[in-house]
Amino acid sequence: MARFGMLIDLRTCIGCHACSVACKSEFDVPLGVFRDSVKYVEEDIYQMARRHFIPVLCNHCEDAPCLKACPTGAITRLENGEVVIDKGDCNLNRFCMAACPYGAIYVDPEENVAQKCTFCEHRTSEGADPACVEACPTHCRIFGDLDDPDSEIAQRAADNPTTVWKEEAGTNPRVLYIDERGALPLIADQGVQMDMSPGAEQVREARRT
Amino acid sequence: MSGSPLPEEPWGALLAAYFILIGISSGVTLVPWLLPSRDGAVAVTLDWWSSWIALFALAIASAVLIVDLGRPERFFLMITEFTNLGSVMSVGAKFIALEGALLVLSVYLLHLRRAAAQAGRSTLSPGTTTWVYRTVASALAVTSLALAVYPVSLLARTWGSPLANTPQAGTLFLATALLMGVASILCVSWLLPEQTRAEVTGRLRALLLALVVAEAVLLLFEGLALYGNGQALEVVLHDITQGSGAPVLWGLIVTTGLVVPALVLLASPRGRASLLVASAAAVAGAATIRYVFFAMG
Repeated sequence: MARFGMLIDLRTCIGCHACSVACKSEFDVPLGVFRDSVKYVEEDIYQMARRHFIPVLCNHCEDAPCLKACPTGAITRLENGEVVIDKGDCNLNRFCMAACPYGAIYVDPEENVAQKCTFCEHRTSEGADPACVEACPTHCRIFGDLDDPDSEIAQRAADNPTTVWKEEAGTNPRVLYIDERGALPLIADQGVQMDMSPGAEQVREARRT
Repeated sequence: MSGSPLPEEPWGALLAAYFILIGISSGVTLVPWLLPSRDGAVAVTLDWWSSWIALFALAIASAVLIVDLGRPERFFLMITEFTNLGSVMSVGAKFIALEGALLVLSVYLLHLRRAAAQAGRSTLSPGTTTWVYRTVASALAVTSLALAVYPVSLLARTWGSPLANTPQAGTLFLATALLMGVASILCVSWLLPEQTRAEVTGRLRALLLALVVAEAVLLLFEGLALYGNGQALEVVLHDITQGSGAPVLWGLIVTTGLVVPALVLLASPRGRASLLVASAAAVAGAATIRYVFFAMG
């Protein structure tokens, strides 16, 4: 059985939000909430300032905390590894949201259930790519079977150093990133988008002088 | 630009109130087990009032949960769905349902005992009747113990409550539940039979003082567990002790919840007014501890 995953090459993401728009359109996602989006993270200060574009979505973790948390069994894992929510069984207790370290689950304000990215299960089960992958103009997202050595995703992952978001959470995400500039750790949980890591202020100060 | 999906705050004030109410309900039910050598009449009266307080608190907690979920059938689904028993919330919901059923049964049995006592039959008839009374009381104690600590297990599985991940968090939640239970019963202790009121109130007062001290010790070690245990936890500790949480910690938890009850109980141990003040202050402090575990981080 396939083990679906996604590889995101941050070197080529241009922050155009085509993926977010495609996802919104695919699932008719209501205003104010997102299944898939692009975080803008700013680092450093003038003259050395840099902006990173980091697409984020449900990581379909191997050890998914949401799946273990759900008291009604509404969150399940498909045979191909995709983690999906059966909205009929969701009672909106929000434990999955509290357990997910990625903030990837939201409350659908129209249907009053928890929702998240499904890796476009309705498309991928028929061999197509997820909507976000198809829409990406720079091909920075690659979807496929991580266990198939001939797949593009497996080959790109083998040829490049990859990392995951919040590895320390121990969730074993299936969304891999090529992150040469080390942007992922700069994402704070909320609001962010300054580099607040230890020593960053000293680095800024050193560069100022 | 912050980007999305932004982490939504999954739980709000309703869930905080629920965690406090469930502590009162479970604590009140456990308190009679901490009072040894009670004679039959006093035990029945104490159990009678503690069961009613627990039932009342549990009913409000369940109502709060249903309001938070949006519809009663959603709460029902959590009780009847057994597909994910690895979920703390799933197990907790079943304990809530069990506790409710046992409390109703307990109140009914105690009603029968009170009626029997009034008719001059104060002892339990041996055999099945005794077994039923003891089994219900024991089962109630077990479910109450589970409900006293289950919120901290729930919070430990979330990313927004780092305080719940320390070794003494469970013990602290048990202490807050017991403390709120003792204080709640002290508030109605004047309903006890006059001949034993002084003795029971004295024991409850000593218990309250002991729990206040225990709570202080556990809080100290909670802080020490956070100190030097990684940058993220130190940030939380700093926020609680010196940042935005400082007024809550030093004002509500330490001063109101620990210092006031201790001083009042030591200075004026027998007055009804002082007992009420100490009880109310202790409940406020313990409830705030539960709230801080829920909200800070």
